[in-house]
Amino acid sequence: MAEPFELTSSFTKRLRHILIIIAGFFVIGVVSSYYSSLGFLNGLQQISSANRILNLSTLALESLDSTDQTLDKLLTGGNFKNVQFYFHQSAKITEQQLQDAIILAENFPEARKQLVQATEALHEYTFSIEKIFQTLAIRPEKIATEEIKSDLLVAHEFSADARETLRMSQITLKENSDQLFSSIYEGRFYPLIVASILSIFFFSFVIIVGFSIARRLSHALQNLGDATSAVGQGNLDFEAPILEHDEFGKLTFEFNGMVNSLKEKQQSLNLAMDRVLRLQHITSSFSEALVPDQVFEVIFQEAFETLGVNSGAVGLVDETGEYVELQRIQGYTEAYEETWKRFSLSLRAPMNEAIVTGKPVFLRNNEETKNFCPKVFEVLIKSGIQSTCAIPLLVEGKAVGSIAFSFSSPKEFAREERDFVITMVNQCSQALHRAQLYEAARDAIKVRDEFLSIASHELRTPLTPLKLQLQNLSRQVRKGNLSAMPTEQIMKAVESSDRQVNRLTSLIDDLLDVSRISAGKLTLNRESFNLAEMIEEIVGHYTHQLKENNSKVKVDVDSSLVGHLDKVRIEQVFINLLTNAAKYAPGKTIHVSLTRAGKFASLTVRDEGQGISSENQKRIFERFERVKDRDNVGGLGLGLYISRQIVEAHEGFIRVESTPGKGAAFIVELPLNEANL
Amino acid sequence: MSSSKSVLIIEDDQSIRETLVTILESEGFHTQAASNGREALKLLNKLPSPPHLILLDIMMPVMNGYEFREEQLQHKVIAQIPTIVLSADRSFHQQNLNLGFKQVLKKPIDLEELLSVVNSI
Repeated sequence: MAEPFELTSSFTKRLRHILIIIAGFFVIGVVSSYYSSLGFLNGLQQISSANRILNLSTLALESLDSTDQTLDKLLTGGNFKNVQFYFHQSAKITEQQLQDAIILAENFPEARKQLVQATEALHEYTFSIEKIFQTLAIRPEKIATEEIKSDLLVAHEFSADARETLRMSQITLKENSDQLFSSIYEGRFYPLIVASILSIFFFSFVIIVGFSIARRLSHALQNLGDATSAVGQGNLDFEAPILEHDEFGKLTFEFNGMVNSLKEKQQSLNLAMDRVLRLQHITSSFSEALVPDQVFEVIFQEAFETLGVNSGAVGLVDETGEYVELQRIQGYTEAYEETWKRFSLSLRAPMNEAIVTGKPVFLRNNEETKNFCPKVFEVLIKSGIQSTCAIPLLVEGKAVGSIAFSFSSPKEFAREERDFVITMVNQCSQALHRAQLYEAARDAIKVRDEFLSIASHELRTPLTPLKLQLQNLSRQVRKGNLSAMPTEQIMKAVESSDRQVNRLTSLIDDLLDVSRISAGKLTLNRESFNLAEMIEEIVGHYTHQLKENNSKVKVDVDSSLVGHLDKVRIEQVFINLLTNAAKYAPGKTIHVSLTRAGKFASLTVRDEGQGISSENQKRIFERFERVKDRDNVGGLGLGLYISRQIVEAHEGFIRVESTPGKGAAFIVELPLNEANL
Repeated sequence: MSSSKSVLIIEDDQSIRETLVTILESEGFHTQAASNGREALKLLNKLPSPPHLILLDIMMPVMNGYEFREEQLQHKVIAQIPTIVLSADRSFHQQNLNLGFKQVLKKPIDLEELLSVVNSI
């Protein structure tokens, strides 16, 4: 995917924020509950303290009452020591109770003040009673006296004072306690309500947020689930929508990216498959192409259709090896196609480079092309070419030509593309090789058929007069006319028949020689002989026959040259050259010369005929070939072929030198006998 | 046997030509001979009266038998002359050529066959 994904919102961050808010609410709730319950408990504790104080003060009141009653015994007489003891105990308990109450009444200042006052009154009471006990201790008889009685009354006033103060403090405490209770009940109740409402709000919030998160999650998962199942079913075009730019969005984005890269992989796989199928198709098309033109047509069709090629050319190196001849050209300007039918291999051009190096050339754009071949560049530009590739046509490892494909736009030539086009051209090379072999085979068959046709004609030709002459003689004999026939006529018929038999023999000998040469069974029976003598002898022997063609022979030989050669075979070569000269240049002089050329004897047979064109000069030493379109010349076309094989078997050379219109010279070079050297 | 009949022999091979001339002359025919089609056409133009029969070889240099036949058929007078093909080619079928040859004599020619054809004119 080209655009990077922008994470504008974060689901986890939002979740974290929500959790922080929930935690905040929670802390606030806990703290507010703590504080509201703390006040509540404190109030309850104070109420309970007040109750305890009340109990203590009630106890104190009761013990004051019982103390009073005990003291009353002092008025009726009795053992004051017992009373004193009891009083001390009781007063001690009462004071202790009051002290406890005072400590407890810490939070009730008014009641505490009253309790302190009560304690002070109790002290006054105790003090006055103690005075009584001191008096009685000194004067026990004063017990139950008026004096004591009045003292006791004074003391009782103090106790009554204490009691009064205590009761007042009880009233105060009760009031305080009631106040406290109502304050707990009313004042501390509202925070609780607030806390409850807050809790409800908080829980609702949590539920809503939780629900929304769950919804969000399920939506995102559903979205991805849909995408996954779509992709699972092979629908790679499916693109999951990005709902929000958060983590799920990112996940979806990455998922889509993954699917996309999968799609790309699949596409490149499909492309590769397509190319394999294409190559298969090309291979089968190539296998049907039997001539080079058809082969080139197949590759051009494929290249223009599959590769989007705009122009293409295929060239083969010509026989000289110095020029490239275009076999097929398509998509260039007419002027270009005219000019570039044939060009020198030395020119710097993509096709030539591919041929010379045997390696493909890829020029991706104008700049590369201009740098590579500044001269040809201008021409290419005019044909609207921006990129070019040239692939060598390799036949048995040798570049026999190349194919160039050009495009009207710059091209990267990715590795797959290069491989494809190279493979395609390699297939083309193989097909071309096959087609060339096929053509050669077909040509060979054609040559053979032509030869058979010529051979049959040539063999039948001498048979016709032979048969006619014999049948005629037989007819005359049958009719009893033979004796009446002039001897001259009979002799003529017999001699003619003899010539036809010789002609047939010679033809059959040629055929046998060819068959021997083909089988590699040409054996040489070497002997040392004088070459000049052999020439003179043959020329003398053929004088009669040469005269029939009105040919004259001029001989100029070095009579010292001796060769260790197969004499019969060398004679055959010389006779062939001599009769050829007479046959192709009738009525002219034939020049025969023999000279020494280093370690070789050079035998030349030169005529004054029409000469041989350079095209024919190449062909005439091949099997079944002869100079065509020549008047009145028959023959199998085997003579020069056989001659060449014989000369080469002697490790010699044979060649022709001719200027059309000015005769031809056949030169045979044969190794000399070592004695000559 | 008519002694006034004339035969034109068109054949490139000298020995065949000469043999045919010798034999037909000895059988009482007048003969003319040409070594190719071109020569034969020239000869036909020169002759005061057209021959009664043409013996035509096919494989000849300069102008072969087919080319001669095409030329021959262009000229009314000589087109009428019965023409017999002398062919060394065993696969020669005159029907295929649609050139209206009277007969085909396969080489090597049989003397009796030749004489019966020549005498039938």
